[in-house]
Amino acid sequence: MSIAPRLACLHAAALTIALAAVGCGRQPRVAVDDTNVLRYAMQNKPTRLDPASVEDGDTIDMLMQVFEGLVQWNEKSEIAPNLAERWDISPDGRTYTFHLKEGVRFHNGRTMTAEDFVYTLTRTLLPETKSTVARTYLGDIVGAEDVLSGRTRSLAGVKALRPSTLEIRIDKRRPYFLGKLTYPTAYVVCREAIEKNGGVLDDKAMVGTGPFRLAEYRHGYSIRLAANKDYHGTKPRLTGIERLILPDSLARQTAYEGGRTHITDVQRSDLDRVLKDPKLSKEVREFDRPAIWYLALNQRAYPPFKDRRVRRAFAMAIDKEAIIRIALRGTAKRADGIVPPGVPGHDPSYRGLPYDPAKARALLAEAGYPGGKGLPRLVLSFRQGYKHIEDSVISIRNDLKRNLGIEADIRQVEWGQFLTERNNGTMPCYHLRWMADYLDAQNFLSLMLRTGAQENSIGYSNPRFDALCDKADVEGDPARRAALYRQAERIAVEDAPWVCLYFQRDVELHKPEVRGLRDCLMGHLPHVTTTVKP
Amino acid sequence: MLAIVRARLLQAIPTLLAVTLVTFLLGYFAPASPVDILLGQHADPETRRRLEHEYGLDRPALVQYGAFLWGAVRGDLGRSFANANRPVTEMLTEQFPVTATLAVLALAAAIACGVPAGIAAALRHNSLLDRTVMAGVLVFVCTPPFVYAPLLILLFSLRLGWLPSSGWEGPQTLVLPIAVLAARPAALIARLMRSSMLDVVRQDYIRTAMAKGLSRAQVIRRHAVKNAFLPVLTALGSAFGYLLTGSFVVENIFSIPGIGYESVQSIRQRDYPVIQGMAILVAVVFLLVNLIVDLLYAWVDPRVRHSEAAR
Repeated sequence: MSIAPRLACLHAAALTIALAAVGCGRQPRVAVDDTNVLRYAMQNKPTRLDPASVEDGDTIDMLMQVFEGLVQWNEKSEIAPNLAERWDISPDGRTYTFHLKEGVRFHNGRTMTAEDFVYTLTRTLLPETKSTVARTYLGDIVGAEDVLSGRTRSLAGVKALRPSTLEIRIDKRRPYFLGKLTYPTAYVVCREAIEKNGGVLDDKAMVGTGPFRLAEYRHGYSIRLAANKDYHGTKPRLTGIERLILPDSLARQTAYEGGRTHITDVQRSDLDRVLKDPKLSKEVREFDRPAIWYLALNQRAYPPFKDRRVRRAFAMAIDKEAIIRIALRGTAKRADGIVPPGVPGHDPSYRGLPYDPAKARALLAEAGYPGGKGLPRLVLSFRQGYKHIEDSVISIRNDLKRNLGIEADIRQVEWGQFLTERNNGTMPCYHLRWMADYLDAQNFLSLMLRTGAQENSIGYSNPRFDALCDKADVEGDPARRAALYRQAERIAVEDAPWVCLYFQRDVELHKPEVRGLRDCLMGHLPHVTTTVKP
Repeated sequence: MLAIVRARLLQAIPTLLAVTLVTFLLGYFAPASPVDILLGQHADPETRRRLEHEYGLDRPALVQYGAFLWGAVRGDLGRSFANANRPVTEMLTEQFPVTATLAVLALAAAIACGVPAGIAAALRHNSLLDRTVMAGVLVFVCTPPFVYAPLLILLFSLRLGWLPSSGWEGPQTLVLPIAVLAARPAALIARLMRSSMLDVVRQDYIRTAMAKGLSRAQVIRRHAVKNAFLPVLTALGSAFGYLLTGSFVVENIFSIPGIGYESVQSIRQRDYPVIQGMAILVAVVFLLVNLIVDLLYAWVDPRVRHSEAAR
């Protein structure tokens, strides 16, 4: 055979392989009517399809279309009934009795009962489920530690009193406990589907009660959901949802502009172009999120931060407005306090520590470091891979140099290493975000900054702050609780263990045909009212 | 031939062992634990300890490595930490065909573009065409794919809207990644083909064929191209290696779920079983491609065959 026919054979073989590879697995398990399908990308492939251990926002957004819990957030960012029609809380605040909605069916047709919740909550806590989040969200339930440690396989604090009545007992009064139950760890799962799948909840066992059901999962490519026609609540107007998996931001942007998706995120670096574009600028939507970006001043790794005056000097030397304007293109809100707007306990009247370079210099001099002299070399660490974070940290470094005379180095750190160093408390100063697990001031104050709290690896301690948090954490009256947290927040801001920088706002592009999309602080809500029909 | 195969397979064993050991040690001494990444900011020491135990990460290094090797010998590469406990072999069998398809198609495209370009440049030696081809070769050899991939996306996807910028769902989605991946090997093949052709056309047997009255086209097609192609054939082995590693960049830019994309994700998540599985797979492919090239050498050049047999 001469060269030309050989090449022709090679081409033919390659094309055959390609078409076979590209075309395989295209038949969806459930047929989806293509007329009203909402398409938007996932920024990463979903790592876990099991509500018991999901952590990333993209996968949660997908799972909450398929699975549901007892309660959910509503558009006012309040706790609202879902599979529980109503609930009673005992006077001591420790026993929750949920009255379940009757006639709710799983996607496989079986009726959901309280026993399914007993199974779900127990399974989430069992060691073999390997949940990374079970302890955070369900650890307050009586007996949870025994199940987590493998001492028992029965969760003492959860009982099915009747097929439609569920009782959950927790260790002490925790007014934020219902907020924890909005997280997927408490979404009801179908026992027989999981057992049939060898005890694993993956794409072959994704059977929930939600408004959509899994139609097709192509690993690494896309996920298609089909509307659940037997849904117990408002029937979805969409016929389906398609989530393309597009990790590259440019790919997501071109997919949106090319009409392949209806919704996309916008990179801060691309925002100027988007806002100048006559068509795209009309499609920009902004959403408040319950997240604060801060600069942690770690007293354990950098002794000068033990001095309150040094910390306050840092807080007053950083121009937050400039960071928001330059690094974030205006898409954030200045953080004067710690609790973000919309989260119960947020104090809209509090102005925090002002940007006051002269006072900051004076404070630093008073602490024995005039013009930054005598301070050990400081390193500002930040998470690698995000331009807006890098720009923010550069702005902070410039402020420290200009306003305090401090020469700081900046250091990009790969995320895994960043987490390890943060947990070990070895980074002197770092830029990071905290996003609410549930909408409650406790999640920002007690959890993050109380003496010895799990997330407080920077050595901050103030007994007055601790006492107020302890009191607020178990206070039953919402108004009194909020007042206590506000007092605690003021103490923490004035002490400046963190420099509170800005509250997050997400920027997205939505095609004009996307209508009826519901949102709350935690993110978009299940797409029961969304439609994309022109 | 059998002697060559036997010798190469025996040499492959220590190579594979070295690959697994180095990959394991790099992961073991990496500065963050996979559990830290799984836990994110919820740094609960009790959960951390429990998960390290569940994943077997609290065992001594030698025990972990031994368990991995024992599993690998039996065809079990373990389960992913980050991908819902999926078996690594299942992930590899799903993702490798994507990368292989991309590499084979890019290789075919590189041959289809590089060979004619090299022949044309050689036949029009020192002409404008030759200089244009060589200038193009220089550009594509020197420019890494991550430079021109975004430019192609901006032009063909964003500006003109002709081609999708991502995905792996139909012939249209193949065009840009294959173009990006094939550019450099095509340039190298064109350069090699050109120089090889220039050598061949000066050989006596070409002159003899011409003297016998064959037309220039016949001589080129039947004698010159066939002989000039042999060095290119032997270079395809290393080109395929480049294509496999090049897919790491291209798959991430174009969101193609092959082993390149998965490897980068796994490294970020310290998903050791997947990283080790990928390393073994890539090593095996390299060894196989080298073996095939050696066999082709032996098939083409009897001297190699005989010297191997004489060992």
